[in-house]
Amino acid sequence: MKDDSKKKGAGCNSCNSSENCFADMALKKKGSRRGALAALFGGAATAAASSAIAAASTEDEKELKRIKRDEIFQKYYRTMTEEERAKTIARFERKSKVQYGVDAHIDGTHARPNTLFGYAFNISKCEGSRKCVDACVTENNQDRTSGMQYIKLFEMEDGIGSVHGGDTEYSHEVPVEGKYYLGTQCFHCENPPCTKACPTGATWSEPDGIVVVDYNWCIGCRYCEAACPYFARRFNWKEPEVPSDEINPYQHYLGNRMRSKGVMEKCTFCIQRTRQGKQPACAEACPTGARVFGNLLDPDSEIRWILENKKVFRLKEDLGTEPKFWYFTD
Amino acid sequence: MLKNNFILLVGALLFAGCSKEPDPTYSEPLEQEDYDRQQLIDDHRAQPVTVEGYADVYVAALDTETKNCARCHKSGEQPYRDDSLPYGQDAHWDVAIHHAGDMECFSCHKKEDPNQLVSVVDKNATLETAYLHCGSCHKDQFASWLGGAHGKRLTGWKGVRIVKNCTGCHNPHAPARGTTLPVAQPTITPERAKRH
Ligand code: HEC
Ligand code: HEC
Ligand code: HEC
Ligand code: HEC
Repeated sequence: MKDDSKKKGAGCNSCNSSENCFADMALKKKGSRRGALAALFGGAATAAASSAIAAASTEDEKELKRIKRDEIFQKYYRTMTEEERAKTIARFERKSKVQYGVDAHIDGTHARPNTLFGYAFNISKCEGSRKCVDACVTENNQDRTSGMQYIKLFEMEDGIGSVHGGDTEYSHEVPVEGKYYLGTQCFHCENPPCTKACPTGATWSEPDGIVVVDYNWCIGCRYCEAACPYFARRFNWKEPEVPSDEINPYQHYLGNRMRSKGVMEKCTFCIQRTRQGKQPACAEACPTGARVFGNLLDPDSEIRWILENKKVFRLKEDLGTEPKFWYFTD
Repeated sequence: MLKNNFILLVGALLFAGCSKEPDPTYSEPLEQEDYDRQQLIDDHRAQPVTVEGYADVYVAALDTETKNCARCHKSGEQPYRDDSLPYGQDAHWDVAIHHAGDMECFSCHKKEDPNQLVSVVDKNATLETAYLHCGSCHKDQFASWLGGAHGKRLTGWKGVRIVKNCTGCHNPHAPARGTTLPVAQPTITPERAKRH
């Protein structure tokens, strides 16, 4: 499509998408915290303001502007009626078409009854191939230019338990004798500190245990990021960029739909897949079977078998966050 | 603490009305039929596990085309053309045993029938049900495999459970898994990202 990268998007200068203008407005009320942050981080936040909102024509540009304006007045996901949700989804789908030329299917499936998702990770099986990380980035339309990844795969010395000693940047053949591999991502805590830190209610626990973010309700204050003891949350310092032919069109409102600059995102247990009965992309991609996902309420599930028959542990268990993400060994 | 309260206050003022917990909303329960059970079983050419209590677990077939032993070894009294030849390495030159030291072909392949495997779990173990064979020596891994802690489920978390056979991940002749290069950090240049 047109490469119109130099053009500003929606007439707003300090931010190029309207929900971020909203965020800016909210923040300016208390002394432009964002300005300070931008300075601190060498302008990373503002540098991206010039990033492309490539539109096919001025008609499209106008429509995109309109869509973005509507987004400002959009309601909170949880208090919308089903009708409002459907309308909003239709608007997002149109936005995807106009902005990226992608026919996205944005799903609004709610939690399924009698479902509580859990995850188990076998640290004696993982070989560190990093196929999960790759699958996650592709599945979830993560920004390709900032190297954002929900999963961190640590290469660790045998006998060392703290991920602070781990290496995530390795590029040698794996697995290495005397090392083991441990992956982290959002643990979807039963008692999540992040949702409590959020001043707007933009992040919460769904009935099936998935901690989600309403990207349009997030003001980008990053309190949740600071509150998470597992470093699981990722912030969009710039407008995320994904080549349109690499955008995964199968999206969920609370999942992998396109985000914008200034909002928080993180692993959603691939809500767009798992609420349809599939495995998260990371578990599906794993070649060793180290990743097991399932319904904690189903006594016949593999995850329940692991919890009952294997020695399991969780990270920073003493904090009382109750992650629904267990590690185990053979 | 003070700062937290202040933020909460600002939040409450700005977004009045959204702090109370809305009632959870549910979608319809997921039905097994949603997954087209039979279709998945056909796609994987899967067979039910022949272990009591696990009839609803299926094992995906491997490419067996090249493994039809009966093409050359007729079952019966003396299926291998020349029993005296040591290991028939000329015909199966690519079979090199690196498995527990001194195992021979017939520690695993049945002398009477090349399509069958030696097993104490179930004497009818075949190449397709190799898990019965591996499981007779590797009891812990076998139990974990049945339970779901070893091996891999190929289908979604819901619906029919189709798993990989042991031989889908381990070469029985040399079962230790080798090393690979990790996938490069999945990032791309800004130039490529702009292609939209
Ligand atoms: C293309 C024909 C062919 C196929 C297919 C084949 N084999 Fe063989 N196999 C041979 C030949 C030839 C020999 C060597 C015997 C000889 O040279 O007389 C041999 C030898 C063997 C031996 C060694 C016998 C000994 O005395 O040491 C074993 C074990 C064996 N085959 C197992 C199998 C199994 C198991 C399969 C199926 C998975 C199989 N073969 C498929 C041709 C074949
Ligand atoms: C540890 C047990 C074990 C031993 C020892 C063993 N095999 Fe096998 N072999 C198997 C199993 C299990 C399969 C089925 C593999 C599959 O389905 O992919 C197999 C498959 C085969 C095949 C067909 C697939 C292939 O890899 O080519 C041949 C041929 C074969 N074996 C020959 C031999 C010969 C010859 C020997 C002795 C030198 C031998 N095997 C020793 C367990 C064993
Ligand atoms: C006759 C018994 C026997 C059978 C049958 C058998 N194994 Fe083994 N296997 C062993 C022994 C013994 C070892 C060595 C254990 C050790 O070194 O601690 C071993 C080792 C292994 C290892 C570890 C290899 C390593 O070097 O890390 C794997 C993996 C394995 N077997 C897989 C299998 C699979 C898959 C099958 C079925 C195709 C199988 N085994 C069938 C006896 C058996
Ligand atoms: C999804 C792939 C996969 C399947 C299927 C699988 N394994 Fe493994 N297995 C692994 C990996 C990965 C390891 C760890 C790597 C290693 O130690 O070499 C492993 C290790 C082993 C070991 C070495 C000891 C250990 O536990 O680390 C044995 C023995 C073994 N497997 C037996 C089996 C048997 C028996 C089956 C079938 C019942 C089976 N495996 C099925 C992936 C698999």
